[in-house]
Amino acid sequence: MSYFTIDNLVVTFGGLRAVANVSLALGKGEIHGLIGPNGAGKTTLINAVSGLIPHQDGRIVIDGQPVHQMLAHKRAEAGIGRTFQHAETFADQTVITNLVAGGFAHRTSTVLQDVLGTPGKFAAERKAFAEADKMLDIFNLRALRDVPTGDLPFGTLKKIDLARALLAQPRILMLDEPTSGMNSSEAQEVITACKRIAGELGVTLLIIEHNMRVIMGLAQMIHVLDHGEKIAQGTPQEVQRDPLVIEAYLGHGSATHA
Amino acid sequence: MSEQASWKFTPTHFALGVLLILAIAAPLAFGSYHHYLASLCLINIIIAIGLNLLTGNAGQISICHSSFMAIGAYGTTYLVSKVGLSFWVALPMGGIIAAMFGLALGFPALRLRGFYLAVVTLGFLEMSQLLITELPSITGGVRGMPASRPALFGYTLASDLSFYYVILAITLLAIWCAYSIINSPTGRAFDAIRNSESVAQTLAMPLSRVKLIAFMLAAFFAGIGGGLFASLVGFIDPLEFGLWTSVRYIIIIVVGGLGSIVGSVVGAVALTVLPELLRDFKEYNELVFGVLLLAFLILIPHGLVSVVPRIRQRLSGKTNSQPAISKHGAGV
Amino acid sequence: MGFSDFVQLVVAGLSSGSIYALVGLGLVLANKGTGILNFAQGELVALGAYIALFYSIVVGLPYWQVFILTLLTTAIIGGIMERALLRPLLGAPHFTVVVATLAIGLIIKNALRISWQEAVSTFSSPLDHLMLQIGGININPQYAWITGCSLAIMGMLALFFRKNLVGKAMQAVAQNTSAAQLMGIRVSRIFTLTLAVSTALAALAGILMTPVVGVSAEMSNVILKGFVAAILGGFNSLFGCLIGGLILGLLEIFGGVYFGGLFKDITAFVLLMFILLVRPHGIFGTAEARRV
Repeated sequence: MSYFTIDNLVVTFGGLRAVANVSLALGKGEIHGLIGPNGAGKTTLINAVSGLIPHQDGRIVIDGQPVHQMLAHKRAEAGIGRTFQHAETFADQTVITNLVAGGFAHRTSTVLQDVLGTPGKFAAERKAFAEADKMLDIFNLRALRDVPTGDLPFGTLKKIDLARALLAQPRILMLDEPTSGMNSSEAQEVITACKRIAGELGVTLLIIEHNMRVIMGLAQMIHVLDHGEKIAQGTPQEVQRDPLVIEAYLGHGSATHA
Repeated sequence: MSEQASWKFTPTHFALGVLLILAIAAPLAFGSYHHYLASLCLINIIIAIGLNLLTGNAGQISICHSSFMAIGAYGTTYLVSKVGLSFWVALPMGGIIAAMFGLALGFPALRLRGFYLAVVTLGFLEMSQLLITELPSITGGVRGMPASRPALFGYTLASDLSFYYVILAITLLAIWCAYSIINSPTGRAFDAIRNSESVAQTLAMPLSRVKLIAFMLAAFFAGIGGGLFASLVGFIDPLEFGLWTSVRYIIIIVVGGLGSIVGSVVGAVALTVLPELLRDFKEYNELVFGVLLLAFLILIPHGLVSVVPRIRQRLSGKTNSQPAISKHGAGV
Repeated sequence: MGFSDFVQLVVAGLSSGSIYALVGLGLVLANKGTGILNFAQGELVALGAYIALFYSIVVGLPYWQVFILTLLTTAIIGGIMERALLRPLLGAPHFTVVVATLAIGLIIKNALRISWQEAVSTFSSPLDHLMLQIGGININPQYAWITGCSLAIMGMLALFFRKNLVGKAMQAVAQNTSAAQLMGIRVSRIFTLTLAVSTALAALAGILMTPVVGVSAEMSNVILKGFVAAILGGFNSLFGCLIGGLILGLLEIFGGVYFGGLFKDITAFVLLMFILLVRPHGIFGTAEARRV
């Protein structure tokens, strides 16, 4: 049994099967890619796994612990983290506040302490900000620390989204197009970060990515979705040669554009 | 320790210090009516701060804040006059009873998305007004209910000045609590939920629980404000707790600035003093404030507190880059 | 309780129920069509009644002309309100829209209070001195007219949505605004039209209520009943509103008879809490898919 398994997941939208009996298995610290043409159901799959939309059938298990019946916030506590296609940073808040929000799962003060403003609460606050500040340096965001994210370019928002998700210290991290909107040096920064996240922290990564060069160099295993169904799985080389995959992409348009 | 090392005396601290000294010293130069008015300002600050946590931070709507005020006012007064409790025990109990009502109301409404909370609070507003008149044994019915001033260290706070200082202390406590909440995991969960419920959930924030906490806190603040209000006026008028009073607090936080403690303070002072100055046009009060509210919503959605930094920015010649309003918005 | 009393109560319950259904329908229509939750709907009911009062007392028109003219006037007011006040708020946070409509309600209510200083607070209707007897049971003709007229108008509206091209466009916009836009529907006109119809429905409720309760700014309190009717019906359909309204109307009347007047007044709220706890998506509703 793998560290993280999605077993026969089904998501329907009023009769339409957006995700049809998809199964994935990821080992601890592995990086897997999830690719497929537009509308293949990739983001829907991530939404269902993180609990934001209901699924009709299937099991989701992390390290032997079934999580598919939990509410979304419970799944997050169980170690499922994710980023968003459109970054979804809190536009009216500063970069640092966005990041600190990521550490919510590891808060040490109680609600009562928060209300009364006890010294313990303020000590916890300092620790939370210190953690976030460290992350700020890792992603080269120091200069933007106190800027509201509503003013920032999309590539930067994607980095903030990733940093925020990391501060929750997930066991599984699902990234929805982590390099979109980035120039090549920023993208390289994210690629390096992903390798470190998986390699050094042992976090399991599932990455949706349209940039084939990025995903082929990053993932040890690729899963291909088309029309909600999984049509192929294999190493980057295997998948690139798979006739089903080539057809799915050629039928919908070019495969290799960024 | 690092905080002490990085703590600097900024112009903001200076301004706060001056304000505090003014709040303590200035009333000595004025008469009883002004003490009364100043106390009213403080009570409105307390209620507005609570509502602002709920609305400005957590993005939820309450149209029944006047009902929570009523619960605090009647609850505190009843516990003092009929049960014989000390005011200092009855006041927080009034707040807790209001919070319990908030829990009972919020529980069914906050599990659901969208507008249910607004509708439920509208319903509760009407029902509470009805119950006030229908339960005269507790509330005194349509004739209202007398309330008394509390005693402190055996000394009755009969003068408006002495009561003012007590209310000032409670207001400072309320401001401290709100400040602490905003700068805490709980407050960040409020802000996250206002911005995006989806993101908040994926960061392990329990939606219904966080919203309920915000709702109960706001109800508690309103209950405390209500208890103080009854005691300050010396009489509970059942007509005080209608839709208009609820809307007035919404106007206060919208005009002052959503999600800002300073905004609550500025809004509460402005909206308490202004009607007093315009007492000759009392008939037009609600009309004028309705227009004011609409104008602020459309033209200055971030309230008065947003005006000062914007002017400063314009004077310093920087490009005007106002933070974008979150389109995901509140509640939905 | 005799059979004749029972029938009279049913008739009264159905008539107030149809008023609630009209108010609820106006709320649902505006919400589905434009995304706006109109907390001024109650004040629009009062506005309709005052405008009818104006046409009847000041201008001196007969009932039928008052009826038609009031619906037209309020429809225009609704359209203007959408263009001038609500359009700038499209896409604004939920809170902003709700508070803006509360403000509009406050303005309407006080404008009515200040501008109407006459002592008269009701207008005559041709049914005032009629007696209606069916099977030996006396029926208040006002009640029969309220129910009949509401049902007829709702029926016409249902036909309009199903058969008429504009009606179908309104349905399409309500279901999926961006898809409707792609199909070439001029969404902004549909928004205006939707608010116009929704406002006229509120005014209709106001006109119909007047002979029973008289004209006052407090008529606006009916909005809560409208909300409850609409939520009971699932907040998405004309039929749901109608059934929800009638259930509320009947429950109020019979609850009032058996448990006293206080119960009648709190029925709406109790029903609201009950439905939210037990069947939050209404009596016919199913859980809708949540948008991420």
